[in-house]
Amino acid sequence: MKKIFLSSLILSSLVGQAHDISFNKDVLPILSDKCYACHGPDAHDIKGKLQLHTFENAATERHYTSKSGKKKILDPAIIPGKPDESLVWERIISDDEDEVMPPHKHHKPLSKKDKEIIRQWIASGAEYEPHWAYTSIKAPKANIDQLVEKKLKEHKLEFNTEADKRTLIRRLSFDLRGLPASPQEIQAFLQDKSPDAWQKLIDQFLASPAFGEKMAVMWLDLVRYADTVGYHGDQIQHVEAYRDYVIKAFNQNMPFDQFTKEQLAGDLLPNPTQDQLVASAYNRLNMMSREGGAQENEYLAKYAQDRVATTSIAWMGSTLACAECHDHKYDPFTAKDFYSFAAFFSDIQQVGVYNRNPSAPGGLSNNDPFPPYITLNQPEIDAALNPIKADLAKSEAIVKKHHDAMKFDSAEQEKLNTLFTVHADAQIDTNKITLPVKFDKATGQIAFEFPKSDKAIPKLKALSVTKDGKAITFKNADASHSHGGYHPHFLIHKNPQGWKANHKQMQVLVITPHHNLEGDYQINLEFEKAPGIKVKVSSYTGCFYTGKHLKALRSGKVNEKKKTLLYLSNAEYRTHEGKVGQLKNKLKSTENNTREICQITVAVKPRPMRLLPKGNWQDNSGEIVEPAVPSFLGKINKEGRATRLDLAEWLTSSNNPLTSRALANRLWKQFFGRGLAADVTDLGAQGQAPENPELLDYLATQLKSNWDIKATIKSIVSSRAYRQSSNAKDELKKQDPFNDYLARQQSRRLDAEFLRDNLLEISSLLVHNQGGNAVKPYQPVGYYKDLNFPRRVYKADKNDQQYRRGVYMHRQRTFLHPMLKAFDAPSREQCVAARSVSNTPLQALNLLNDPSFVEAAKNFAQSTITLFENKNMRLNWMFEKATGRTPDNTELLQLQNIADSEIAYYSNKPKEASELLSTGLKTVDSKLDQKELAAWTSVARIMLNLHETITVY
Amino acid sequence: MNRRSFFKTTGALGLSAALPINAHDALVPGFPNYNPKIKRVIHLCMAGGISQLESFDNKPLLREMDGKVMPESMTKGKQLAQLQGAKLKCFGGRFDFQKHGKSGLEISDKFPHLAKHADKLCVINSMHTDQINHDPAHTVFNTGTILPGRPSMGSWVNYAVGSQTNDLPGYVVLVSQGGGQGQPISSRQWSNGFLPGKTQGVQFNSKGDAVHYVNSPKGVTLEHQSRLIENIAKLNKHLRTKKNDPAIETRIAQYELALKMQTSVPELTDSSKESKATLEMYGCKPGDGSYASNCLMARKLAENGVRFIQLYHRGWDHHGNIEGAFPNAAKLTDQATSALITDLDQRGMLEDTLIIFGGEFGRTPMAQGTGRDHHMSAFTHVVLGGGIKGGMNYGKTDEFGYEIAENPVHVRDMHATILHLLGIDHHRLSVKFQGLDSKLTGVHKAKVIKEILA
Repeated sequence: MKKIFLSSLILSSLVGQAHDISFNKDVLPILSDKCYACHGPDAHDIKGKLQLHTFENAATERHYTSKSGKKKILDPAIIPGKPDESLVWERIISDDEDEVMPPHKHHKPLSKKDKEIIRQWIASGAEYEPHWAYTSIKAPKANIDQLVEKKLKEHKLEFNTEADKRTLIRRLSFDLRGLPASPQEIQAFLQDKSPDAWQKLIDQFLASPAFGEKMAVMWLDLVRYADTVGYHGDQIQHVEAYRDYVIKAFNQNMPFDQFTKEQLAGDLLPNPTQDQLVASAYNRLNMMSREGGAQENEYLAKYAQDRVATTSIAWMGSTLACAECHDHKYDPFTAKDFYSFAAFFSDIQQVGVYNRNPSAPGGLSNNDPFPPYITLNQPEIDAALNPIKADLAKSEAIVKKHHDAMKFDSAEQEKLNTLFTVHADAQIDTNKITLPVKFDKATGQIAFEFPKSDKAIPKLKALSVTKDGKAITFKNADASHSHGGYHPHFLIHKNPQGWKANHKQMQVLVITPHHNLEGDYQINLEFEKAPGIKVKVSSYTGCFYTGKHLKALRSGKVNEKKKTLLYLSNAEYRTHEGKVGQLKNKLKSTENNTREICQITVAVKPRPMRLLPKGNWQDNSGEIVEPAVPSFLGKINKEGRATRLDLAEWLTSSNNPLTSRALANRLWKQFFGRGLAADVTDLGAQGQAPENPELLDYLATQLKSNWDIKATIKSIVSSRAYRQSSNAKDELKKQDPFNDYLARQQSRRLDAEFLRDNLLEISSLLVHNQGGNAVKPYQPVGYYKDLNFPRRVYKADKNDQQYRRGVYMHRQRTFLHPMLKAFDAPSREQCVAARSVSNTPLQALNLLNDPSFVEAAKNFAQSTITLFENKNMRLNWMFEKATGRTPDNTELLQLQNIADSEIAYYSNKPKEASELLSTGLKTVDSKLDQKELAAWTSVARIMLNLHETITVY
Repeated sequence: MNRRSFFKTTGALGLSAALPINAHDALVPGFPNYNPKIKRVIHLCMAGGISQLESFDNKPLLREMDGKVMPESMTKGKQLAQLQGAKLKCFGGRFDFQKHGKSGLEISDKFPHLAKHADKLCVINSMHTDQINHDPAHTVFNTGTILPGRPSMGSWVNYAVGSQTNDLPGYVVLVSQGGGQGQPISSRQWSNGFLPGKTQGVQFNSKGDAVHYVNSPKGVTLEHQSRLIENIAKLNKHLRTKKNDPAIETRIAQYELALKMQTSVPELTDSSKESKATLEMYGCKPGDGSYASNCLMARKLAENGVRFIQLYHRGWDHHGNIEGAFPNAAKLTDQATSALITDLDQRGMLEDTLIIFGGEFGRTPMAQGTGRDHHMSAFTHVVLGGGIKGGMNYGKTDEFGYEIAENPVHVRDMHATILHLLGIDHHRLSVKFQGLDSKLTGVHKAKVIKEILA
């Protein structure tokens, strides 16, 4: 690196002290921000035939052909070593309004300091350096603390003091688990005086299943994971299994190169496992539309853009998506690079507009899948299904055994005919008929057989059975066939609508009395008009049978007769035949209710990918491009078409310096609140060069060696730099406002999900189960009222799901839960590498009044007063749970006053007390004094609302 | 104790000792760039895509051609939404137009109330946008781009010039209910994107809490809540003596502001005390969630210093039965919009308010059965208020109303004009995001529509 020592008095007075300038850190930001828009890499949009992004362009003669065809030559814009003879300098210092650069209308004036840097740079030779992020990574021979210390020394600074142990364990716990350290864990750490106490703590937290949940949130922001599709009707997409995959991958410390391959190309791996297919849902997480009237190709272009934007930011820290309409203005990405990158994904099976139901015609429900998808193996469901399947197999075997054993010969045929005792056989020629019958033994059912007829039979309006003039009652009626609206039940319920059937076949009506019949009875039938048909009245006492059974027996095919005979005459067959039906139904409903699906990637014949001029999807004039990585970064050496798998391998190969730098930079941000290169989204020319590039490369080298994320994290949190106190003097803050030199730690507000987790964990409400369906905490009623296609109502969970971690919360892209939104969680509509951090009244309103947190306070109070009798012990306990430390005297005194006044306040307000305690699903212990509990709930609300409670120091 | 008197006493509880909040709380220095003409913007979004041909763009030839095939030369190669692949036939305006006011502005009979304000209205007949489907078209109208994650215009405005209120959000959104409103609307439309959270649009609800979590928990009175907040502040202040962390002061101030919102928002949104005359003028019943109620609320928000107010009425997606459904939607909006204009005018506030009335796109001159499809290449917006010339049309469409014939106004030109009226040079309002100087008006050329400025 060429360093220029600036000793000029002018500059030193401007920058405060003399220091080296480097092209990347000092000159490039000026050129890129102020000049490149017109004089940068985008060759299609250059002003004055001048590009300044390379030495060759800036410092050599510019040859061009004029419109009239003449060859012309322009002087070099920069003459190295001679600013006063350089056109660039001349234009910068011009006092002619029409001449000065940058032009006034761009509103990008150069400061005095900027100008001086440019002048000095030209004076000392105008040397360019390749952009730092694109150079190959050099492994520094030093560790994190040595590299930090080197920088500190340059600025005459020292490491800050180490934070106290309570602060340290709380910080580490939030950073690795997204959860507070418990008072027990704190005590154990305070008492552990061994030299490796810190290392043990790190190992313990890294091994916690909560680690994966903590890490997943950052990754899910990048890949824009959500439970709904985002456009228009914002319907459900089924990708929860992908979220669980990410958590699992971090917990298992899956090497990042493998993690990359499985997500980008899990489907292309040989014999992919279910997990690998689920991982490929990565390619399907883009927003999708079901809006009628949306254009297929327009939306395919949107999806392609989104995938390039996400993949390039998440893996490369590059804003390649800026090159959709034109070559990149600041980095060497061309529009062709953009479309070539998009082409990697053009083999993904998808449609532009998902407005047709894949499974059934007609309407689309909120839950209809966005294909393709897989049905997941779920061992717990298999475990539930297996006994049902076993029972089914057993019953089916018994049924088959009897079936096979029975020979249906004439003896059997004869047996058939004798099963039913005929009590009456009469011709009906009037609309009313009375038949006397005599049952010899207890009869449970009476059957009426009507022979087939070539004319329509009038409906049977009424049927009754009487003994000595007294009517018998029935519990059931059944027929082999009924016309719609004419059910046999009407007969036993005396509904004149009556029963009617198709008599082109023989039909059977069966009625079941409440009590068995024996002796003499009269049967009365009343038809709408005289039918002119025969009726046979019979009964069978062996078992319960239906109209269909008897019909099969009388008129069925041989096989039906055989089955019926078995049914009527063989109790074991009958039992298991019934079971087969029941078990099949049970199996089906169990499957349908509980099987989860997951959108995945399926590769199909790639759609041709065209370069779209100016990003216009209706313009088909652009060339067709093949998948390729950005050309200035190299290429994939492969015969034939490169695949997503090739891309994944290239991203994590030694040829690409960006992935490891981008990942290292984001990891660092997780533990210091700021990237080593401050803009974690953009490592390009418009980002910020790292103050300590060697430190970034140290981490990138470590990552690249085996992509071991836990090891890299361990080296970061083991460092002295990490363990520093975040408390800093104003002097230091003034000298280094953004903490570029790392002479301190940074205080950080908890991210939305962990803020929720923290308050629930403090209150002993948090349920630590992992994975599964999205959970739905309380949400203001009517929040989804402006959603449609279809309309929907949010149903908050009414069980323990209510208290799960924030990472599992249902993510509705168009209406993010107000709590998550208030605390800056992104809507996950597009890739986000860094959340903004705000401090607003809406946050205060949420923490004060959200029923989730009022209920948490209630539970916190109840668990506390159940544990301790003594007021001070209660206060100490609550304060320690909330902040990780014990209150000082002033705080304790304030807390005592608060508790006293709250106790006095609620002492005569039983109604208010019970109202406060009614918030949330959890009911309070009725044995506790409700007024006291309400008072302590107020105290708990204060604890949960403290700035310290939601801040990592 | 009523809310107002309570509000006065909270100051005495010692909360005001926290960091004072500057009402003119812009988040970036340097704005306005020049003298603003207006103080606030009220955007009345006729979501779904109000038909210009039934409202403000009279096309006699189209009426004559009703039922005849649309000349193919006009439509060939153009983007269509639901009419993709259909036979394209002319569909004349369904309602009569009359000239109104001294200016003789042509307005459809379905807007008799608005017509009375004809000489105040500037009708831009030459609006055009980039997106033909609702969701992305709204995103373009609010943020200037289809990319999600960008700030909406209300956020940009609050970012640059701040709000004028201490106890309300600077950007408030109201979505009306009832009257057959089918189109979904995403909260993305009022997102602050990459701008600070403070600038986000806050939706006020007609049912439940007007602002989420603005009411104390059950069993907690406002006085009790205020004492709680006071105690939180005490402990936080003590923490500040141990930690050199200015975020603590901000936190204390935000809790104070939250308490103010807890008093001011319910008071503001309580329309039960409105006079009968006012309710009649707007045509609403308290708490009905209607567009009319929201117009009344918009006036109150404007009075209380809210910088950017957005109303969505989602009843305009007339793919079919436009003859039956359009008058209904007009009825739900016409009187109330007119009342809002009158009300602001009577209070001397119209002169420093910009009102924008229009949809995310317009509708086709071609029939879709008995209705019209989405149309992005020409539609109409009405603007009025401070700094705007009244009684004029700007821009023209061709005789079919299909394409713009003169003075096209892209959505970003509208953005540039809104910013201009607020004293903001749209070139200068930019924030670096993903390596780019992002602007509301984007990278394409945008122009202030000078011809409509008074």
